Amino acid sequence: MSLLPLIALFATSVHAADELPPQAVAAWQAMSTVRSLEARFEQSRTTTLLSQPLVSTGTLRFVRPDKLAWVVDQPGRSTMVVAGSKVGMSYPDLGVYEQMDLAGDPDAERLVRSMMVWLAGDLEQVSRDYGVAWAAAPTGAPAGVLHLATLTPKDATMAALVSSLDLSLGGDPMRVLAVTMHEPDGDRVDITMHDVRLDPELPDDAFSIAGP
Amino acid sequence: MTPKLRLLLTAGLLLVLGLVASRIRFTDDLASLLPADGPLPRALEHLERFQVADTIMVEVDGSDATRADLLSAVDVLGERLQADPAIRRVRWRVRAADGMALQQAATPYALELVPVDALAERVSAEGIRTALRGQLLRLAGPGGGLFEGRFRQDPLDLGGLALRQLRGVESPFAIQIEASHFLDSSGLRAVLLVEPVVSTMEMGPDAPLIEQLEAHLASCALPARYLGGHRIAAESARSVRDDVQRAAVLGFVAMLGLFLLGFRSLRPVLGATAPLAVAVVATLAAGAIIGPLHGISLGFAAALLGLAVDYWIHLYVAAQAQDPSPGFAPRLAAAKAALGEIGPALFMGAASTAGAFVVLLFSRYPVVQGLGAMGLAATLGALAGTWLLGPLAFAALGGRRLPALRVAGLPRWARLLLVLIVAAGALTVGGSRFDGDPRNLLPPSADTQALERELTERYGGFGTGGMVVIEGADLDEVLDAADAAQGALDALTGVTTAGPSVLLPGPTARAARRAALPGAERLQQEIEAAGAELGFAPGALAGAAERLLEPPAWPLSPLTWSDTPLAELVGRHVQPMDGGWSVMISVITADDSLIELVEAALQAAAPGAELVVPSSFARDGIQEIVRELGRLGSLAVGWVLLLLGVRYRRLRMVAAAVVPCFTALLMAVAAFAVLGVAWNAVSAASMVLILGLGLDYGVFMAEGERRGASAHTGYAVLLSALTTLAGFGILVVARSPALFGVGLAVLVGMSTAALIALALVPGIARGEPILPARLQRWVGRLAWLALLGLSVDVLLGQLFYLSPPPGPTPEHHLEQVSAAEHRFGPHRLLRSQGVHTAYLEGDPWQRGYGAGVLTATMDERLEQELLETFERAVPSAFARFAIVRGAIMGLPGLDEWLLPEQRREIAGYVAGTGEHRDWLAPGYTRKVYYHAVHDIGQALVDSPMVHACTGFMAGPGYTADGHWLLARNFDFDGGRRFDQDKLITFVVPSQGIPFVSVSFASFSGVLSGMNAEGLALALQAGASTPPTAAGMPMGFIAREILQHASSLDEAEAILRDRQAFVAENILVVDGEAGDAALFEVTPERVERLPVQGAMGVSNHFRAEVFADLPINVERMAEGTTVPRLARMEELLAQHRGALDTPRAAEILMDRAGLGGAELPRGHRHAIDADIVTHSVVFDATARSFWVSRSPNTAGGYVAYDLDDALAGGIQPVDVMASGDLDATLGVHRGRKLLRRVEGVDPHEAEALARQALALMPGHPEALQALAQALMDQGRADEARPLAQWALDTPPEHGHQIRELRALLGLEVAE
Repeated sequence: MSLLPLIALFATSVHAADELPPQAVAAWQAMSTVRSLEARFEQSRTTTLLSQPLVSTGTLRFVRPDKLAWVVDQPGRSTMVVAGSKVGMSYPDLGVYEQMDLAGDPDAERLVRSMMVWLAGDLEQVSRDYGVAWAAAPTGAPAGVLHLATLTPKDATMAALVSSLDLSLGGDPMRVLAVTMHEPDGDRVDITMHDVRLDPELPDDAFSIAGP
Repeated sequence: MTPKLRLLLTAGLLLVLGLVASRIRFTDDLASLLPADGPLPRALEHLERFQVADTIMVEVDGSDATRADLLSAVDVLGERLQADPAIRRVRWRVRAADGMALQQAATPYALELVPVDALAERVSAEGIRTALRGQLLRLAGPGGGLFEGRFRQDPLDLGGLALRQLRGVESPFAIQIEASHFLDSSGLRAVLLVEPVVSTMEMGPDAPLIEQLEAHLASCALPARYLGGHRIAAESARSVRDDVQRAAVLGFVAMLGLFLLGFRSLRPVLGATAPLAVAVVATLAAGAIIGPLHGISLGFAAALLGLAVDYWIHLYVAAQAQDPSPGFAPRLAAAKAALGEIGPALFMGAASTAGAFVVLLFSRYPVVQGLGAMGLAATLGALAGTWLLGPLAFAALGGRRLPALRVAGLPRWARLLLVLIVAAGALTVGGSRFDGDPRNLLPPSADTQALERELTERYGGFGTGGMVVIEGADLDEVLDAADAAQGALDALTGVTTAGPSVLLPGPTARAARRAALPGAERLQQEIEAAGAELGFAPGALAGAAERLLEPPAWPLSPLTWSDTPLAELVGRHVQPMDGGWSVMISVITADDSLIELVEAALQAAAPGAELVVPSSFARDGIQEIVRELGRLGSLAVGWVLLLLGVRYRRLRMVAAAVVPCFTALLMAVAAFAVLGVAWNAVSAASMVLILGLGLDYGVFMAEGERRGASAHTGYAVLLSALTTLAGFGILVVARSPALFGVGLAVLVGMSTAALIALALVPGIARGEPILPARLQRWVGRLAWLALLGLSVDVLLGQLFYLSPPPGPTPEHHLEQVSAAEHRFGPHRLLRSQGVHTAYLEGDPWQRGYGAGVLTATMDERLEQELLETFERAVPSAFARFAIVRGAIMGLPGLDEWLLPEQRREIAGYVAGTGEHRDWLAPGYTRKVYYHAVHDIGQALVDSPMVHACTGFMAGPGYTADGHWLLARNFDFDGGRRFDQDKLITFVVPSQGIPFVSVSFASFSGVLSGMNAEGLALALQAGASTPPTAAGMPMGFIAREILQHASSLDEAEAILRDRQAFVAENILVVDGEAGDAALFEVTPERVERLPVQGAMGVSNHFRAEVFADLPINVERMAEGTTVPRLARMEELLAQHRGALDTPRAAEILMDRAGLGGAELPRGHRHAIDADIVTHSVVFDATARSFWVSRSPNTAGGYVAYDLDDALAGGIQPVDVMASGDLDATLGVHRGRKLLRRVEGVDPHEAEALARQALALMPGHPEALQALAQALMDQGRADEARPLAQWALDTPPEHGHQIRELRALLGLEVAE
């Protein structure tokens, strides 16, 4: 049950909100107006373990304030659902299903909360834990990307897991279009989102942790 | 004595007693109900050590709520309970931190936690591919990169496999984890497992825990209930307290009413307080001395109010009868005169009652001892109070003259009716039953029992059948034994276990798991090949196998789990103890009958394991109560008769005094039988009370008649009885069976005693007939006849009972060297690998005495089993009595045929065991005749109590190494104990050759054995008619051969020199000389048949001289001896040239028919028909041997080296694997069912036969029973195919063939 490091993957935030340029603050504020979100994603993991990058696709769903479902379709099915303090993970192809309650475990609970802050646009929360470098989109950036925010964890535990996170922002309203995660061992994960729907009505069972 | 002196003495007495009483302490500890030693407190010790009953299950019902509401309610409740300092721990949900801790603890030990099969599958080429594919899925999944670290450490995810194992042991209950909470299978109810700080044993009626817990549950948003040992203990304690309070109040009110009604004044009530005060203070002082007091003892203390006022009543009535003038002085004079008049009766009554209470002090039950002490103090206090204060109280308060009671005027018909009622009561006493289970003394409420049933059905777990406890100095050894035990039990159908084997597998299992893995090099190749196939980078998996196989830094131990949620669970199964470790496996069985199966499996798999089961509580308890009754009752009766004899010196007066109490005892027993109430330890002890109090009435009435004052005495007895009933009998309103039993016994007993005392005693004391003259004459004649019969039996006993030779009592003490070994001087008894071995040395008396001390318990069990088998075969008690007496008188002076050393050995044995069952015959006589059971049983071969043995001798040409082997199965249906308690005895005699004998405790003869000179011997029954004259029992002849012969010729000489009284096959192998012979022996002749290479032997003779012996011919035609021998010879031929000890054992375990034809399991044509009491293979050349382990041969074999053993190394040198326990025990259960078929209703017979057939598929006996049952119901069409099937199988015995043919309507040949 390695949920703790898994949760840490999603834990990103921004640094020193009062130092950010106005457009960055505006971008975060725009994101904070989103009540729910659904998007397709493609993730490419580049690791020294594998000869070729490992590509996976799936769907991401989020409902403010504390529901998240990360559903992978390819190359195999897997799901992670967070609903409040409850977390469920399933790997149907492996016959593995795990669920747990984070209540009474402040560290784990904090990590789960932080994994949703960039989706929720909670600038205050993010600024507590991460330093932020804000820049305009570099030349050659994918179409639609206007800004690049680089988050660097301040917490040593997080830093051991993630060196930095590059968030590519764009669109109207402003939102995260892609994420690149750099790991201390040199591995990298690129996540791009498309077919993004903002504020859709998402059924409760999309966040069920009841398992199979 | 002046009034002042009386007051002064009383004040002094009260002061002293009061000071002592002020130190009284109370307890609600259930342990105080148990005897101080024996199996019950040991079981309690285990229960406490492992906190078996210390988890409370709380169920929150969300049937009418949403899931969210249920989870919210249970979370709030759980946190509230967790915050309560009275609660140590609450489990109701799975937290991320728990999972993390578990993973961290388990991963380094993954290789040792995963079972071999799963491990082997995972490290196979396909398993490795599957595991790596799964890891790829995880890497591709949400946050998959963070699995990389774990992947590099454990690429095959063995940690995941281990965690899956551990999940199965998180709870003893059938609880599923859903939405991260413990829910029932419907998901509608949530469960919390609560572990309070206090243990079950510390619970009292007002324990704050229960109140707090109930308050928490009441505050829960949803309905919540709870169940567990704490609730049951608190309820029991509350029940006792309520009973005591209720009895005390009701008793007081009833007595007040009685006084008002009987004396028509309150003055006597006030007067009663004086002696009562002394009695109460004396009682409390006794309680303080023996303390702390349990509630049940307190209940008696409250009831003793009735006893304390009895003497005051007698004094008051007698004083009033003096008709004193008004005024203090005349009344004091009258009271003193009355005291002088009733003094003898008062002292006799007090002495007998006190004597009865003194007897209780000898009980093994502390609670009964408490009763005795307080009863004794109350009696003496009442006597002292009455003596000192009674006259003063009467002088101060004396009232009106009382009416006289006409007590001797019952019409004759009423007396006859009374006698008839008593006679009818006597006929019902056989229906009495005992309940020795201490838990039933204070059972939980009906609500709790219903809740227990409901929750057991839903969650299981509560129905634990028992616990297996294994103790030892070394943790690894204990864990290995636990693995073996748990594995064997898990293999049984209908039995589930919870033990340490998943969390803490023993070193053997751990090593086996590691051994199942391929070498590091091969494993690395497999991993890299699979990795390349799945796209892993070259080198990504380098060193994976090496890391995987690296042993953990610290060995697996209870400390491994100390920081995980499983720590508590580990503590439930593994606990340190003084000088070692104790491991517990809880066993849950579908029904109690499976416990036998569990016992057998344990005996084979983990012989040192101790099984603690509720049914054994009951069994041990019953035995204890029966002993207690006999012991205390006979002591009390002896005391009473002694007192009365000394006092009256006339039979008539003694009879008058004892008739009420003896009749009272009889009617109390009858009442329990008629009402179907079981006796228990406490109610059984109340019999002694009835004896003492009932005697009071008889004594007072007899004394009253003697001094011509029976009318006034009768009035006093009546009032005394009523007050006693108000005090004790009122306990009949108690809810706890312990106190209710006392109330019922006293109510019935004392009512009877009073009635008989009033109606019959004066007449008996005067010598008047009770019944109509003619009837009384007949009753008298019958009584005389019975007395005569008894006298004749005693006389015949004197003539025919054998006199044991005397011997000294050794100065040794029995000492327990270890859990498995006891010593008595140089003599030893060891239980190792499921088999008892004894080592005896010295002269015959010393050997016998040592064996007696060491095997007394086994001896008692065996005798009990033998007598039960006898009872099944001969249901009539009189017939059994006649057979026993007939055997003793028919074969008189049997011990004269024994050698002096054999007589001394048996006498020593009897002295060593201590005497019991004298009523059957004295110990020495019984033991000598038991040794002839084998001989008498010869005539019964192939009937229920039989020896149907099969064996062989083989030497060069047949054996692989040229050794001489003697192998045999000793079949005996006398009871399973003869198998379970088999004894291998190594004897180093002061004179003769050292030898080993394989038989059972208390048997001094030899059935199978081998001596240090390499002479091996076995007895196998021949065909005999019942013996008509005594001779030397065959077992002793065999013993003499083994102890004194070193060659076949010497053996033959002994055989020819001794007079046998039955026929016998005696197999003798001389390993030293390399020769063997079969001796066919009858009382008339001995035939020696040489063995040419090999020879099979069963139960008939083959010498030409016996060819026409009718009994031999009949045996061959009717019995199973011919097919068994044919199969044996077939197998010998098959294994010619290859025989060795293992193959010989294989032959002895053969269950096929001739030509290898399949026989139904348990068929008696087979060599191994699952009735083997011992199976043994002697290698006479190597002087080593194998002996089977219970059950029959299914427990495998243990090996011994004779020379080592005779030098003191009596533990087995090797153990051979077990066989199919389930099937063997199925046959046992099937046979047991078939024994019940006889004489029952055809429908019930059908059900029994069908059950038996399911356990013994195709067995002709079961088929025949079923066919017969169906035929009896008129279902011939269904019956005939079954009968034909049985006939074709074939049947086991000739008579069965005839019965089946008759059933089919076929011609029956004679």
